[in-house]
Amino acid sequence: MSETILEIDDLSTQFFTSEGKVNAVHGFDLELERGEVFGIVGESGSGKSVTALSLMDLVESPGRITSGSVGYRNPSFAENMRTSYPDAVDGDLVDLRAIPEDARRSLRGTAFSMIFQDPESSFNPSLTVGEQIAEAVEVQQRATAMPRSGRAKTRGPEYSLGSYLMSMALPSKRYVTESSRARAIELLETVGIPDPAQRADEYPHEYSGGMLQRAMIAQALASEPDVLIADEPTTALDVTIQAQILDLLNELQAETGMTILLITHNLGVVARMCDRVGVMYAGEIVERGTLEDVFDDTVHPYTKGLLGSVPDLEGTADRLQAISGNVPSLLDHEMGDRCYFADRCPKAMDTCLEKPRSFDVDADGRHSVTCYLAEENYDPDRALEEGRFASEGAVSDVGGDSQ
Amino acid sequence: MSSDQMSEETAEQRTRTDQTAEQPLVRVEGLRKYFYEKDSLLDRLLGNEPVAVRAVDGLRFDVHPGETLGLVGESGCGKSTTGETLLHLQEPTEGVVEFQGENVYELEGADKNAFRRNAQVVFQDPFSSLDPRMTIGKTIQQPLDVHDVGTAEERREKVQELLERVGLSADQIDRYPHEFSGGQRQRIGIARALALEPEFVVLDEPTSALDVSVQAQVLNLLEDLQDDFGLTYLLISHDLSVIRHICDRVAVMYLGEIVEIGLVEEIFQNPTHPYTEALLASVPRASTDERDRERQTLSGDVPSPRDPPSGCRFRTRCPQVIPPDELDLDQPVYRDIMNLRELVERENISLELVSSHAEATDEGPLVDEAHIDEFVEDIKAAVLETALPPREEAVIDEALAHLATEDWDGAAEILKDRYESLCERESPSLGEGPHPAACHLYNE
Repeated sequence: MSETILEIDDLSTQFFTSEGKVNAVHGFDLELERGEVFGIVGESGSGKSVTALSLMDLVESPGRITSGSVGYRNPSFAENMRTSYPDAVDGDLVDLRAIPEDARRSLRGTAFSMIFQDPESSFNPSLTVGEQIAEAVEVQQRATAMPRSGRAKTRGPEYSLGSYLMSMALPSKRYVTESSRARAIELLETVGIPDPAQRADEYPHEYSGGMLQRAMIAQALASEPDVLIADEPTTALDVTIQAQILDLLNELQAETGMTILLITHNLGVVARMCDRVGVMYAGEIVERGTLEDVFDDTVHPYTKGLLGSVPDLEGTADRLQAISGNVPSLLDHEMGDRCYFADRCPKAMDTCLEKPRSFDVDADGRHSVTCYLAEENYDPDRALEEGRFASEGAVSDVGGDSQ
Repeated sequence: MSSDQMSEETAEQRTRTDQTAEQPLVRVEGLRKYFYEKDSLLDRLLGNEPVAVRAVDGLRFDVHPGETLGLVGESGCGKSTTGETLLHLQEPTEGVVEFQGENVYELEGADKNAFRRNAQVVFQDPFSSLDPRMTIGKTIQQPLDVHDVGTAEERREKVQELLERVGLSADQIDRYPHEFSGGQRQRIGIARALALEPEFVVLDEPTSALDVSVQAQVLNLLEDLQDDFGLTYLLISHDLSVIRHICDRVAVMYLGEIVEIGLVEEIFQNPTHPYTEALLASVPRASTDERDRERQTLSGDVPSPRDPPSGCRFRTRCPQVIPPDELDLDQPVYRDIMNLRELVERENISLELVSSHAEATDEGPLVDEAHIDEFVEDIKAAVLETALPPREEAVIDEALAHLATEDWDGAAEILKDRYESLCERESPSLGEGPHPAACHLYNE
């Protein structure tokens, strides 16, 4: 087994709303190995994106990370932190939850980068694409120049508010330094933008969706990150453009050897890109393993349902194996302490009223499943009537079944 | 397209319909829908020419009773506009749509009402297509009220029946849309579309806002309803696997035109048009073999419908453009040259940035006489991806040398002379038969 770069343990993020606590992510465990592509797949509302935001420490109020640790392995960073925060450092591993936000922020955009789903709303429409990438380059340069400061803000005369306003008012005034701009153009070329020198001076609205997604990837690469978190990077794009972007990510990953955490609802994208997969349901990973484990030796009924729901492009299955019902409410008081999939599960048993832990399916522990089916042999007679566990207060569950 | 071609097509179409015993439920003929930009009063006063956005540009297809015809294509190819124009929710620019043999755009009075009853639509976004201030019962009942069907009691009964039929429960009739999930709202949209017992339903991306597990429920429901009520569907979708699953025939659209139409099995197993091939290859499969599957991706973006390419609209991205007969070139080389031509024709190379020998001056040539060779090499290095055979290299060098004096037209002319393809001169027509494709490769 190669070296782990990220060790996430029991991470929970809750949102405190007027209706109560919402457990968007709870008890999330994950070990990312250096240089792998790990896919998190799940339906909307399963907590995929909140997981990504939690790792980047970008969760906004009313949300808060309520427990857990995020261990990041980086010898030089550990060395820097050792003197100030000895408790947080364990060998090369730094627990990012145990160091103050300032120090954590210095990693954001340098060690961790993120690509968002919608490129059109992720860029500032009033700055040129080149300037925005150059700014990311600047962040990285400052972080390298002053590693101990724990800060990586763009500071200095070029990046002051005054300079920004001047660049708005005077077309000849640039908001970025010449060297960062040159690097930005280089990055645009890396991601396959034709005529990068000219395109760097264009504004986001002059780019097509696919081009803008490339530009966002360029921006994320500015810092040569250890871990790239890609949150639905191709969902807003057409299939032919999606294919281009996936190829680009694959090439870049092979070149730089970075670790990618790919979040998507598209099982095809996962199959194309990922070494290992985690299937998320109601805020937790219910099945994880290598791509082959999860796709071919599926154990969890939810994973089976998900794979059965996808219409086949190669041949026609007569009828899609839909999962009945809807994604459950994540409100704390409605969740209870049981298997959250039980009320939609075709194989639910009495045991499922108790919350299952994660069971290993094979001996080397790479394929694990949070379901009692993985623990004991299943006897179909033990299955209960469908919908038996449906919580009575939840409106959304009535008549969700089309059969 | 000239009017001669139009009438010729109409004639062909007539003979074809005569041959088929079965009358199509919907017959679309030469349908065009242009949107005009810069068309306001002010623009007219200023003398600005309106710019036509050719969303739908000359469609011809039939929908037969009881079948599901799929319209598939990328965003901006005109799928949804086709659906809306077909139902006369948009005024067509040109063309005829016949529903049960009558021209939809000329219907009036009771006939028009009957058409509105018989042809319904389900929209894409279940979150914005339901009125948040109306109970779902009212929403579903509204078409019944408008068309004055039955007594008030019968209508309410009918609504309850419909709710049950689409997999909701009758006692939810007085609830509001926000109380339902996306999949359930889409069921409500379907119930509303079915309230008047239509024969024909346009389904505009009915599942693209839904998760896969819920999408599967809705697709299953749509299939059941089709069997029970003998419905005819026009399914508009960008998702090829959905099309494959539910459609009998499929029409593939690109930039406002149909490039290929035929039975689903035919199109998916033997795609003839290079665009269909590329589209199918681009979809990632949810299987473990996916990583090793070889596929060719299309380069570039879809061109703008304001100024579509001449001839075949797909030629700017096509991996199989036809070179002139006298040239013996490998496809990658020819593709590369065609891309260069496109850049030269659109004056889309920033010469000063590409070559250090080019300097912007107020007058006189951009490049010093002595450095023209280096300048040409710089451009080739920046733009071309493949190595050219010597003969072609000479032609291209000659053409690019014109750019030293910013003579774009001269350069374009030389390149056009030698490399003009059949694909840019002539627009391929969608032929006849059960599986026609609009491609010169196929028609020869």
